[in-house]
Amino acid sequence: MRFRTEVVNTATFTKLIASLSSLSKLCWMRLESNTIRFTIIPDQGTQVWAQLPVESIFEETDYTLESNTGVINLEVPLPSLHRALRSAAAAKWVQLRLTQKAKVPLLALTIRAKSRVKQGNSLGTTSTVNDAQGEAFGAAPGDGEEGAGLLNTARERETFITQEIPVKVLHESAVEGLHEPRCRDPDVHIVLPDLFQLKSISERFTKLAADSSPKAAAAAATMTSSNNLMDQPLDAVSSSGSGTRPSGVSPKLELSANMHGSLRLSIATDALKISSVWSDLVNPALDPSQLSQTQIEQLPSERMRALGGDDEAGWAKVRIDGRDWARVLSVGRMNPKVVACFIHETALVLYVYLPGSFNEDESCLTYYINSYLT
Amino acid sequence: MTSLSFSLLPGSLLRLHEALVCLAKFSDTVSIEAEPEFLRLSALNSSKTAYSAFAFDSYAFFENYDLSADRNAGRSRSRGEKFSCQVYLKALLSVFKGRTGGRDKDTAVERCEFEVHEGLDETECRLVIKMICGLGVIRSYKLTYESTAIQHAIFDRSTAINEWSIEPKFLKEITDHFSPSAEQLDIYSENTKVIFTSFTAKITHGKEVLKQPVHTSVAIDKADFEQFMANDGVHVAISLKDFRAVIAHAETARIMITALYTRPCRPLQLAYDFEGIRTEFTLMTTGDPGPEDVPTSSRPVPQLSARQTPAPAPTSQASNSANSASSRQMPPPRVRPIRPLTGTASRPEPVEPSTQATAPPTSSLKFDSLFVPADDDRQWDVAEDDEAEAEAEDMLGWDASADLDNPDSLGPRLRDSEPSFGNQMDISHQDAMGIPPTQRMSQVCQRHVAGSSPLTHCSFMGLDFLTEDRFDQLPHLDLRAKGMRHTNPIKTQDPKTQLVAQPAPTPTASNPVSGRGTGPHTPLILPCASIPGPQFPCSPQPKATTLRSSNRARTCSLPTATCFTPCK
Repeated sequence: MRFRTEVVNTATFTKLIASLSSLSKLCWMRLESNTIRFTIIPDQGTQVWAQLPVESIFEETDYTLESNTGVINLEVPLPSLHRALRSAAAAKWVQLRLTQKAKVPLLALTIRAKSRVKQGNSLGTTSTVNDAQGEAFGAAPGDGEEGAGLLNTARERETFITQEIPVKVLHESAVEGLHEPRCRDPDVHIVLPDLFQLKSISERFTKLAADSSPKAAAAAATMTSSNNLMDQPLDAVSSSGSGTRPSGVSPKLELSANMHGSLRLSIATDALKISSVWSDLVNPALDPSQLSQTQIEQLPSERMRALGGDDEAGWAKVRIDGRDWARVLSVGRMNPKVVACFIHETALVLYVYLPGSFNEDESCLTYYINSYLT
Repeated sequence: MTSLSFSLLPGSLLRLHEALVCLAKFSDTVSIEAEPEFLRLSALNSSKTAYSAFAFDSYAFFENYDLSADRNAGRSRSRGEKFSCQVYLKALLSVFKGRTGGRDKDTAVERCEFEVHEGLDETECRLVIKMICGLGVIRSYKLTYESTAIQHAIFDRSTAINEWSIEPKFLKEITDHFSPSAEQLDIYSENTKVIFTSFTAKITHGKEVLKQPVHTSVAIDKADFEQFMANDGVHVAISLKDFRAVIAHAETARIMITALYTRPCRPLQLAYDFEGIRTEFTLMTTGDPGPEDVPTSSRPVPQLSARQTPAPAPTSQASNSANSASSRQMPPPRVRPIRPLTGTASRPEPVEPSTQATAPPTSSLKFDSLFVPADDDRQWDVAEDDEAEAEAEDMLGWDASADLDNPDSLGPRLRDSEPSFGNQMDISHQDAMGIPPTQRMSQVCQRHVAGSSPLTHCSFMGLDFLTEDRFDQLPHLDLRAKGMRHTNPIKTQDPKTQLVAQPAPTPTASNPVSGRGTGPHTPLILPCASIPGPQFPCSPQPKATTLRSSNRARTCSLPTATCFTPCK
């Protein structure tokens, strides 16, 4: 079993891992000959099924994958990987490979970083400039304000960093039972507005709801689940201090959309009811090449489209956990295009398409978010 | 009674504060020692694996520094006035709280006065700190202190064969890559690179595998160092937390850090001097305890030497050095030029086996490390003579500056021990340590060399025993386990030659195994007698005799500078 590749798109890789690590500590990483899949299946919360073409983050020509089955399944601790990748921020060259040490399989991330050091005559003048500056500086030798002697003593420093992340190799049998959730066709599909805006508004709503009346929320929690009975004194304690409550009784955001370009985010507690509405969003058309005209006409989304924009029945609604939603939206750092598919009162599926030169169809992160009943 | 008072200007006060912040990362308490030339703050961590000391020059650093003995002036004058105590660091640091803010320019501290109220006529003995601020504001603090014997880690710079200097920012850059949870740091060099590896020796099973800390290694060019004179392949591992603490402080001073060490399981010293402050951090290094804990083996003696020197080499080396030491008394060749004796006039003495032997073979999990393969066969190699000598170089010992409370009591001790060269002393010493009298003659003799006045913190013989006595009350195990020796090396010129000779060649041997971390933190060494006599390349007896005389002769001439006080 061999895996070795050069990471060419470190920034994307780092951001991807950062987004994923906000959702879970562990990730199933499936390396195939053409694609890399990242899957997160937490006990509770949002599932992520991500698929990227190899060339989107790795060097295609330097991609070595050898295994009996042609795939390698790894269980990767995301925080460790994320931390390790942060070392690669200013790197010239990054290599990722699977290795082992003392029988523990490792993902070894080898990073070559360069920086330029000016070495003055005295210690006090020694300074490092980062790589970009260093190059700019080096590009114009002689005409800088620095003396030639000083330039001559400037020296390129090279640092090799190796981060070894312990991973677990999963046998094919351990993962063959895992498959993406299957959902019925969505009622509404819509392109989400700017995720940063959506995230900040969502967080604000969540915070308002959490702050507005802890007692009411606690009461609501009692009704929701008898299991929470035991937790209530605890809840009271924690909410009295910070105004936040344990995630178990986190406020539920109500997200709804129609096929006429409107998205509504709202939250309701005993004390308040607020909502924000976005309009003039895009309801993307489905690919006609995959579905016949009649099939398209039978889709629930088309029925919803048939209803007027002002008809409340034309809205598909899901209730989602406010904090979990905020973590999902952290994928916004990758600046993606997100299509949200609403399945009324059932689930919200987000298709997150990463920007970039590579084929967008192939690199897609799919988030499956269950809708809460209350 | 000694009286101590000094005052600081804001700049120095800031430095003092920084030093205390740094010390707080090592221990809860700070030891304060005042001598005419300097004021030293030091801290030894609870596991006794890390020692840090800041010596502030009494002229350069302080605005005003007064240390005087009210009574017995004559005696004190000759012996040097001295005051020492221990203060709870949190209490001392709280004095500085808000001082650095600079929010209230008007009431900024203009001057800080320290005063020790100690005397028979005092109702309360207190350390009084007065912050004289603008607008006539004076903040006074009275802190309690405790008079204790202060322990210093002993580090003999002159025997450190590995040395490098680097700017702290490079080290900071390196440690930034390490996971915050990493505990240990391994340092070694290879060709043109110096490799820093962070690791955590933690045993995990099954699912826990994924929770294992990330191992990070960072390789930088030797050219990044101001100077690099260390042997390739010598792994030393230190606590990353301590290392970070040192770097953090060195960064505030923006001063080149110098590291000195010999080899694994010997202390490593990080040091830098600036603005009238001498700092020293003596950190115990770990080597690698292989899977089989060497101490438990019946003949652990060979371990260190075997690792350090390829099997065949030691014999010749040892005898060479013995020859040179005993007959010619010439310094043997060194790998690198002999450095100026930076404040260390004498060096540790190869006597330690007996004390080491008393330590039960404990090794803390913490020091498990990664760098020696399980099949490190060499540790089973035959013990060589030089082992003992090599053993002794720059060990971390203790120097309870014993003259504090009852200096006179030391004198007799010293003299008592002096005449008893040879076996007699040996036995008595070993009795104290509860092991059979199996020490080698040569060692014994060397040990008796240096009778020095307690005034010098030098752990000369008298002090040596004194500290050991004291340490008898301490849990031996503890000291052992953490790899510190509390024996005080005795220094003589002769042992120097021996000692120096041996360590030098060994690391260069670049035995793949030798470079690796070696064994448990403490080399637990059985008494030498466990090795049949003939195995010693040089007969101990003759050496002993020659040494003895020379040593004794030398004793008087040895400078009594505070060679082993780390900061002097």
